[in-house]
Amino acid sequence: MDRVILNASEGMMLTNGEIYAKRLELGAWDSIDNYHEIPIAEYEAMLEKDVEV
Amino acid sequence: MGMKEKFIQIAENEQKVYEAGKEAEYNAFWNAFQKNGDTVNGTYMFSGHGWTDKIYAPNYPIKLSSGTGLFAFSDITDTKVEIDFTSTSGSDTHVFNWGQCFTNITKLKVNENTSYSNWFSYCINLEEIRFEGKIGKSLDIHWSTKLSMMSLKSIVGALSDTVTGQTITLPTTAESTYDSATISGRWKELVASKPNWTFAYA
Repeated sequence: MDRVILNASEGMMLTNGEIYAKRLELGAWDSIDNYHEIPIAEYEAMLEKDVEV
Repeated sequence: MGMKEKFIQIAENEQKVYEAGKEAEYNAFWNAFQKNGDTVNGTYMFSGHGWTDKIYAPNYPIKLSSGTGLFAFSDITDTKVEIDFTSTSGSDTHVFNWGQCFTNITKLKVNENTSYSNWFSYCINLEEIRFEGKIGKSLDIHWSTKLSMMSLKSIVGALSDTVTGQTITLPTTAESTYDSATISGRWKELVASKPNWTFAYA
């Protein structure tokens, strides 16, 4: 199976709202339509909020 | 033996007797704390910077009924024993959250029902981790950029072959770490063995 590969643009992250990545190798169930780019700063702000117990 | 020699012998043994007593008390504490290896509620059990290698000395594998925050913010470097999540509800979160000192997670026993929300956030020094059982839900371990080839192999090897809709998020260094310890192209082969998973690199 040839996987669909997505690479984020410079300064951006790929996300589907739950997963954040600089690079994605999609599983057979997944689709490029599930992902969009956001600025890394937005991702980092989300991380700070999310990791607190 | 005369009285003088007896006193000398007692004096010489004093420290040994003291240490033996201390060790016995320490073992008694850990046996009670771990219910002699029975299932325990591990919610925040070893959380916080007060937990260090010096005082963390489990006598048994840690079998959990729940484990949210089990090692969150701890300064322990090595779990030392197997951590068994197979008797939990599967919804535990933040298990190793901010476990920045961890270098070795000896063995995590899991099943397809185990979920991994924020389990490894900021585990930036983790090198070795082994899974037993199948990973059936999305897992993010991208903070751990020092993972060894064997750790990466254990993680990917444990991914369920049947679930769909799940993603494994790894450090961007995964492929180079794996291929440099094996042969170029081996990482792609490993990833190809799990076509039902999306691989994310962050």
